[in-house]
Amino acid sequence: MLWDKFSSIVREPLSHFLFIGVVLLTADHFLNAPRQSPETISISIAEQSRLINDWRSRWTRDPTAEEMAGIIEDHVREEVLYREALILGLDSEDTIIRRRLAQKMSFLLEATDPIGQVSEDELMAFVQENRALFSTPESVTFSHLFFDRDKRANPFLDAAKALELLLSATGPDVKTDVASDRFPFGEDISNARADDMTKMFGEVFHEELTRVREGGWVGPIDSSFGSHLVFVHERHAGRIFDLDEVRDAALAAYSAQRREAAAEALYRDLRAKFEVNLEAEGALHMVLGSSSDQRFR
Amino acid sequence: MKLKHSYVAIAIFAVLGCGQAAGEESIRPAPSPLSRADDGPLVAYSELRMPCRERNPLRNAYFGDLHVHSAYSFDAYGNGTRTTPEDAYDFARGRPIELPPYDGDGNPFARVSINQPLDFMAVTDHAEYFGEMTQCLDPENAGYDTSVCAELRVPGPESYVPMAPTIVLPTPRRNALICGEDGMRCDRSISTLWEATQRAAEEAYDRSAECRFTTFVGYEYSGLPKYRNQHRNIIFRNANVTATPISYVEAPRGHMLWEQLDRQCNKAENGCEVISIPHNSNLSNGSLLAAPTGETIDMQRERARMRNVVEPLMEIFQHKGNSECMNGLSGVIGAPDELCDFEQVRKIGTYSSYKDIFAEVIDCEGEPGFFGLFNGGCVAYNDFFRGASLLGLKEERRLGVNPLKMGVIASTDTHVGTAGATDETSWTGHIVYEMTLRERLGSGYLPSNLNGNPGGLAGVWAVENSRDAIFGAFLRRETFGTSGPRILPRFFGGWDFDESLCGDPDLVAAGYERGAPMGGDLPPRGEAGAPTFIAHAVRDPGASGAPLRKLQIVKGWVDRDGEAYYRVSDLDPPRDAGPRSGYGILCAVYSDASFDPEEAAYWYLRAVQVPTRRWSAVQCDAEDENRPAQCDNDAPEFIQEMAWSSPIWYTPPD
Repeated sequence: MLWDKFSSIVREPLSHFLFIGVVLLTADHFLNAPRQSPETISISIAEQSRLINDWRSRWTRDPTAEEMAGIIEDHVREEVLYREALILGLDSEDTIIRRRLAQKMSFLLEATDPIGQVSEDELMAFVQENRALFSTPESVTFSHLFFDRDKRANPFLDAAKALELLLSATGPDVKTDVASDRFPFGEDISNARADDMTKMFGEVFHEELTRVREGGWVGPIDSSFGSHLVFVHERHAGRIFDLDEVRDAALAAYSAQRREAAAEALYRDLRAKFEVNLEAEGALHMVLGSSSDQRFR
Repeated sequence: MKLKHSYVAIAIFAVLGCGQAAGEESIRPAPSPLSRADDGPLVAYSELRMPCRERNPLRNAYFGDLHVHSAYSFDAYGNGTRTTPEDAYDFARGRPIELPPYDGDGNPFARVSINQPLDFMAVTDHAEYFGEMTQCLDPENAGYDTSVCAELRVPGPESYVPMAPTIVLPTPRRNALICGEDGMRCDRSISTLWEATQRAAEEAYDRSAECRFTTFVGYEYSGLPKYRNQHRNIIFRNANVTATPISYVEAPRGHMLWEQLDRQCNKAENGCEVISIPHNSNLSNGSLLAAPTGETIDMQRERARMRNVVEPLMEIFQHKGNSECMNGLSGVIGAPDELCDFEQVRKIGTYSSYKDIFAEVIDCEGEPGFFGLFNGGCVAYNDFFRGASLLGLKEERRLGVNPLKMGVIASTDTHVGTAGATDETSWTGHIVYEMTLRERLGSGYLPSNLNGNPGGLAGVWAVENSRDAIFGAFLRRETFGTSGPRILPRFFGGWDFDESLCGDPDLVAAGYERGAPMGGDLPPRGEAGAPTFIAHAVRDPGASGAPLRKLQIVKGWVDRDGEAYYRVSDLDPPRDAGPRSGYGILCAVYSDASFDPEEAAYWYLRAVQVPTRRWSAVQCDAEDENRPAQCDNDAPEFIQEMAWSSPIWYTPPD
């Protein structure tokens, strides 16, 4: 397709440099050309719709005619001042502008997309290397019956009586026969990590639960809200995910890593074109390193 | 190889496939998304990350701290803090860190860890001095040998004061000694600390499917003209941030800050998105949450719009006091509310002191004062969330847009990196000169020490713990603040909620389907008479929490003559509960019989705990032989900790 061809040209780093070159040459021509008076500020339909869209995205409605005039006038003001500033060469002296341009350029470098085929082995190795990202810690899945301290004179006793009932009966549905209360975080808790349980039940309950065996009603265990009977269905061990479970995410992360490496390589090519002349030696020693072992005091 | 922040390419994951991604058979797939008008994926990622394995369409509460200083802050460093942003993130994740001051051998005063880890956090150092700090701490830099830097490097209560003029002057100027006459030396070295700040946030952020801990890149904007507080914390959605922070030096007025943030970030089309969260309005002498300035009404309207977008939240509570409300101020009409006195750093009609200066605390009466940071100068009704929100309603009548439409969060403002350390019993101070109990009970230069408190937490309702989900809650204002405990307040406003919802397991789903959550606008009224509200709260289940005493709804409204009013209503406890002094869960449905469809109004929820011992009392209880004499003091022995929800608003038809 013509479009594909076009977009692949657009993505080509060389095209970027050519494009930027043209822009720079044009700017140079414009700036050094004798100034005509009056100069023209053309605002194309496309530019106007961009301004209107900006407005809409901010205020979620269309501008009134009066506001539209204001938008255009603001734009003109910006353009006039911008051109004057360029003529005065203010752009080259301003640290903030320099930084912004540098930031834009590095975005441009990263936007190039040289990623081709990624092999299964490469991806597997990437998941292994970044196992912190692609793993899950141990957790527990359990059901509980709640006896609310707010509503009962003796929730612990009520829970203990209910436990007798549960133990004398059999079958998974038996818990519906027991008159218990609604718990704010639900009665079936799946895949709860240690920190999840502390958040829902408090520290004491969590400690007690670690001692409960799988497959049977146990209790009562007290929480900050009242008493509970607990049935642990399963404890899950921590593990690294299989590649098939995380393929899309791993591929995206890996591609991003490759893109960054490619951008860095492009930067190094650019950097090679420059010779750096440092006036004084060694002025770059940084006390404020970010590695946590390097205390800065 | 680590995933680094420079992955600027915006990868949008297919978010709905996450149930399968989690794997194991026994893991249930995520419930199907709630059906709403804006039905769509629950979170669209603006960054590269693993989709969270658990996602709750009815939203979970997450707790964080969005106001944390490390040694990168000039005042913290000057006092002797050496905690890095990495340390602060470690602390929030439950790992022990060292507390200043350090002795001659470099041993810390203590090692401490948090009682319960946080879900999210941002380090917010004073950005005005990133360049100066780099000059002062790196011997190779030209500014290093100046007297100002030399003084900063020796820990002391005032060692950073020579640097203060930069933020105190109404027209900011960099310190010429450190930065050179043109300030360039510092301008050029800003990025050292800015980049270190970004790296620390990146390294601590959990991008795995576990979604245990979210960090935000942020900084503090620290304008303090004439010591009237203009401070804000600037929080970015993701790793795409401005090239350098926009500080008071670059933007000496609030509207300049909003404009530059909007242009350099929100409009940069590189995935950058940002909000600004004002704090300590209680110390701003009527100037921080003020009506928009500008020569023409159009200019004022434009600034009101800008503020409405860039500042969706404010910090209602922190170490240096309560910014919810204050009794006895002109400009608002309502009965005294005793809970406004909670952790108030000063009260109208009393005397405040700074060094040798004593001043009566007076009402600004429309004329902003100064010296607020030192507890001096006047106070105004709009220094507080309740009054400022009323001013917002008035301004909306005038300008057609509400410049002060703010949800709430709370935070600590710790200057020793102890993010989220809000437990009254174990609190060890938030500045270097609060580390011992004796010091804490003394008096300080700022509204701290005996006057201060451990600060609060930021709460959000979000489907998962990721940057995009939590930042989305900031933008929706679906946030709340607490004075420390992890209380879970839920608040919905609609037109047809009834009492039976409190016993209904689908209460939350009904709240979202038929109404607006905290931070939203009441849905269109139709033929309905009075608005109805679901108020629900669950106590902090943890050891630093306590049972809840009551729920309250605070209403603010502006009548047809433009007068501003508020009213606090206690809600009845649940009928099926026997009489109790405190509850684990409270629920009530409230109908506002006084509603007038012609009056703009807001409502917010307060969930209040039973009285518990204030830090200054409970920490003295633990002392026997070495009980400091300062334990006998004027501070209240008991406090009632609470959570504040963001408001729900009603705007009358034109």
